[in-house]
Amino acid sequence: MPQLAGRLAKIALLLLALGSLYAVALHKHAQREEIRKAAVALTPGCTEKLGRYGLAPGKKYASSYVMERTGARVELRGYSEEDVRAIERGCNIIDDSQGALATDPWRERWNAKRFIRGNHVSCDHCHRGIGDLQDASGNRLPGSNSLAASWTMGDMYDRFTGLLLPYEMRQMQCYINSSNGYKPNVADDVIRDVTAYSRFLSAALDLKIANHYEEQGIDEIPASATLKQGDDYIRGEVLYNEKCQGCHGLQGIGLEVNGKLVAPAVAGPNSWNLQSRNNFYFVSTILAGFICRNMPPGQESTLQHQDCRDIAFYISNLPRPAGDRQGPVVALQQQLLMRVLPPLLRLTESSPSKSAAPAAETRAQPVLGHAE
Amino acid sequence: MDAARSHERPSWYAAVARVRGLAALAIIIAFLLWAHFASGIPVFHSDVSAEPGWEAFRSGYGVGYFGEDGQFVRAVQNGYNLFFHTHKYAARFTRKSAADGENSCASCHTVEQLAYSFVNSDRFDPKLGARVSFEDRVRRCYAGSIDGFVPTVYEPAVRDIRLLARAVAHHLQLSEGALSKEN
Amino acid sequence: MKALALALKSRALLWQQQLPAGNSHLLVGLTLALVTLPQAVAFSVTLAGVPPHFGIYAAIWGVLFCAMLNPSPVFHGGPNTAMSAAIGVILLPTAAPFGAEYMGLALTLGLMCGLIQLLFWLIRPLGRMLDLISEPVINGMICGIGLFLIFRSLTTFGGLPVNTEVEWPLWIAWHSFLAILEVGNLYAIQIGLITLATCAVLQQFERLRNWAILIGIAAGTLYSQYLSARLGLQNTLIEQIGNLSAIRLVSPSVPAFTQDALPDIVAIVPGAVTLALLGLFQTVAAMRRMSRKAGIFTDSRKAIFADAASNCLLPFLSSLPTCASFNRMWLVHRLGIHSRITIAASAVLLLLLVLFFANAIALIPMPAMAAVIMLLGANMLNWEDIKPHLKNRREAVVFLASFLSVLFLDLFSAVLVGSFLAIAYSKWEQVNPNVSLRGNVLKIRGNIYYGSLPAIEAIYHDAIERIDDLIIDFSECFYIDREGVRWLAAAKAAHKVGFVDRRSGHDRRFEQAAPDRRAGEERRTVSATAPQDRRLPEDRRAVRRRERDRRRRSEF
Repeated sequence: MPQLAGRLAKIALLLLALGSLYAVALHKHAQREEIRKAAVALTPGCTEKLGRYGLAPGKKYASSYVMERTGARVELRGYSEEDVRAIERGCNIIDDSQGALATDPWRERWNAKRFIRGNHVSCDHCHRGIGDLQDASGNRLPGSNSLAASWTMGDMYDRFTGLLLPYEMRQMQCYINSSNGYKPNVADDVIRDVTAYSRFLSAALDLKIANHYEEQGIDEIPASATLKQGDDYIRGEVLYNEKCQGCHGLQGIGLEVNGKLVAPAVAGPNSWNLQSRNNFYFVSTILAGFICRNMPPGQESTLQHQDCRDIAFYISNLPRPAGDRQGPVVALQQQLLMRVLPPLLRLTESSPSKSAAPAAETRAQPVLGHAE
Repeated sequence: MDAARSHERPSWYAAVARVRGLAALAIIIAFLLWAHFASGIPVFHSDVSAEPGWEAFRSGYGVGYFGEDGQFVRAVQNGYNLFFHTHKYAARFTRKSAADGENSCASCHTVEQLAYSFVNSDRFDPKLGARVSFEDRVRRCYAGSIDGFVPTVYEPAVRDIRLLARAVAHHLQLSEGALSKEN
Repeated sequence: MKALALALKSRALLWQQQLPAGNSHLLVGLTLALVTLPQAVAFSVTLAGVPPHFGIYAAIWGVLFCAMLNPSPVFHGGPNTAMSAAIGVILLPTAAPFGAEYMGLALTLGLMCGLIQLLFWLIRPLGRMLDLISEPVINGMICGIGLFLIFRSLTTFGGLPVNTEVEWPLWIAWHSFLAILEVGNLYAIQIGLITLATCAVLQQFERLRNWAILIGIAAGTLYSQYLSARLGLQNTLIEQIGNLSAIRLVSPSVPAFTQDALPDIVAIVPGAVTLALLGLFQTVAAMRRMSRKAGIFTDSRKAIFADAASNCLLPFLSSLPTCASFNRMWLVHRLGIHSRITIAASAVLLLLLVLFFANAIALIPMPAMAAVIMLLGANMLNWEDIKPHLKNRREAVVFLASFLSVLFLDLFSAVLVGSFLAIAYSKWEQVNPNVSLRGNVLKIRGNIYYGSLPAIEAIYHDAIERIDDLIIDFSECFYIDREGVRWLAAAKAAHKVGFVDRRSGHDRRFEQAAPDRRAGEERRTVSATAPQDRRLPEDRRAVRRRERDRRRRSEF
């Protein structure tokens, strides 16, 4: 009965394969459960922030921030230990998405890095102040991309996708576009923990659901906020070389010194892709607004609106990866452009008559990092 | 094959075939027209239908803050329909019918309770031993409380309940973690 | 009138002869209905993102309408994997699945698909172009779609939410797979694995093959009910088909067509074209294949009309668009049916089944449906169908290109790439005729037209430099277009070339190919004025024209 034997062998193999897949699933689930229960090692930034807001397990929670500013003690529902751990993990992910400060990025950041292409991007490069940027007196800065305000204003209609976008989906879009990555499933702990952190922030700041807050999103700079002299790519290039190149590197590819990231890439393979809202061609107001609000660090609000638009326009013209809905042909084209153009241009532009880049060694101290 | 068939086809053969085809088409179209106009079965339209009480709810809970009309407002309206007439709008997920008592979310909850539940969601539930999101809470309700089935997470039957909760939470000016009077 | 009655009677007699005996007629219809039901539900819920009644109505009314309108006895319409998957992909960026808005857009998509298919029927050349889709293209697409189905069912298999934006299928598939292992709903995975294992094991046995899917679903459902009884549905959170008791005889519907929905409708127009093409390709290809197996022939234009008319009307009955189903037509063939009545009966039986067993069908868990889809997808990767294409290099290239483009591009581009390659290859062959030079005879085997002239001219001019009295031999040349004629005339005027055509003045149809030619004959110098070969120019042109008219169908 060789036919029967063959069949039985096939069946046995099949059952073995399916069984082993299930065993792997059980193991991974157990691993995840174990990580959820493990104590969380906070980054220095998160220790400071969460300590400031008084996050601790308990039956009730009252935000010390609210008490300082209004004198009133607002009692909210308390967080259990599991919730506290989730919030702490979420804070860590925002502050240090790449896991540079973690001993084991898989365990401590849910390996968020695998959903981000390249080793530069971290969430708090755009969501500065770990999603909650304040000035020295504790005022929340308008247009600072606050995650707390994003939560309260979430689930609204999004014109770019043409859908009502749930908060978790908007997070995932960040993974797709701003970090230029693959995407986690919406039920993944990565997304749930960041949501937990955002929700905690909005509780700590006592933000009300669906109210409008100035710190939400980016204060954009339309052309009407300028003298309407037109967005000039060359003007932008000159400004970039003068003010940005020292940290963000030649042609926007970012700068690492002694293995530490000085400033992330704004172009090239480690940067956001063509479908991101940062792309000037897609939305011309967002990147410009971000630059004027936050850059250069330490000299914010020194740039004119037109300057910011010019720099944003210039940066958007530097080659960057294709968006993942643009298909493999465009992806290949962008890969070729990113690999071929920058070295070629560096070669042709290394003539002494052009303004040389300021020496990178003078800016050895990391501007971005986790010692804020 | 039919042995009686001659070498040449009769001239009316093609005509008969065509007539048959057209007759079939006519029967189908007649059936369609009957189904739409004469059968008495309600025709499905994809727009959100207005239930009585929506206008009062709208003005009472300040849904106009989100606009006169729009994607969000319609979703909230759908949420309203789902909340108060679950058996009709989420018929796929509940075995209850109009005749049953307790056939909608409103039979056990108020919208205020829904809003408080929303801002207190995503927390650890000791009975279940895990953090439970709002969507999962709603799905558990569909499955358990109204004798039904489990909808998918981002299906409108769940999503619009969340948006309704958001709208009411805004009206009540709730913050994240707000406690209701009872707590 | 009498003649009409006679025609109808003879037709009825014909039908009777083709029908199997009364009992098996019903049994076969029941088998078909039972096979179609899980597919209908699975396609609509897992692939298309619409509630199950859309698929069920497609399996009832879609099959019935096609049986009434399509005269082919091998045809079985109904819901289709590729079309359902395409609907899911097209509509995902526009609305939330299963919602009212999504359903309305799905109906509009189906209607637009039907209208475009109607165009293919009205404009004959368009319909004929479908015949140019060769087997490697269709098989490549079907294999690609098979893999695509497996990837798409992964999230439902694991009880996870589907990702709403569709990017590169392979990346998403890999990450979905990892997500299932790490955060998937364990109960859903258990149910899915049980269904998958049961179906796969039963498929190994010839007798149980038709019933494998049903038994697998039953196994999955039983296990899911056991889990619900032990742990409670609110704890296992297993998604199921849901309450179907609202399904009646018909469910009239109106596709979404309002000002509000217009941006979305415009956005899905390219998708409607894809859907129309997918449907027509499959119908034409399936009919061609099954008709050949059954030894009959039906004009594909009638099938196109049946498809188009059904798809224009089904959106008004809450139904998915339909087209031929390879697997069900194959089943029909194996069961030995060649009767439209049986197929129509299966639709009616399905309606009765659904009306009476709605409560049982409601319990079927979604992971089981996903497992069924995965299995159907795996079955589409049929090595027996792929092997013949890999033996020939040209077919292999076309097959691989179609297959890979489904995975790396979207379905529309895959269709275009496959069709383009198939047409390009056939043109390439014509553009490179076999031109041989032996002695002073330049023999052209193939066509002389604008596409092949450059290749011919290169060899001709090379030859004319070396040889004084060149003869051009048209004996195996079947088509010369006007540009070719002009070139030949110019060649004759410019140089001393002779023309020869060894075919006799008789019509080629009744002759065997070149019976008198012997191996060494071509090497002989043939004089242009040799009496036995002289033809009047008019006669030669008449011969060529006859050949050309006869071959017009297969040439461009």
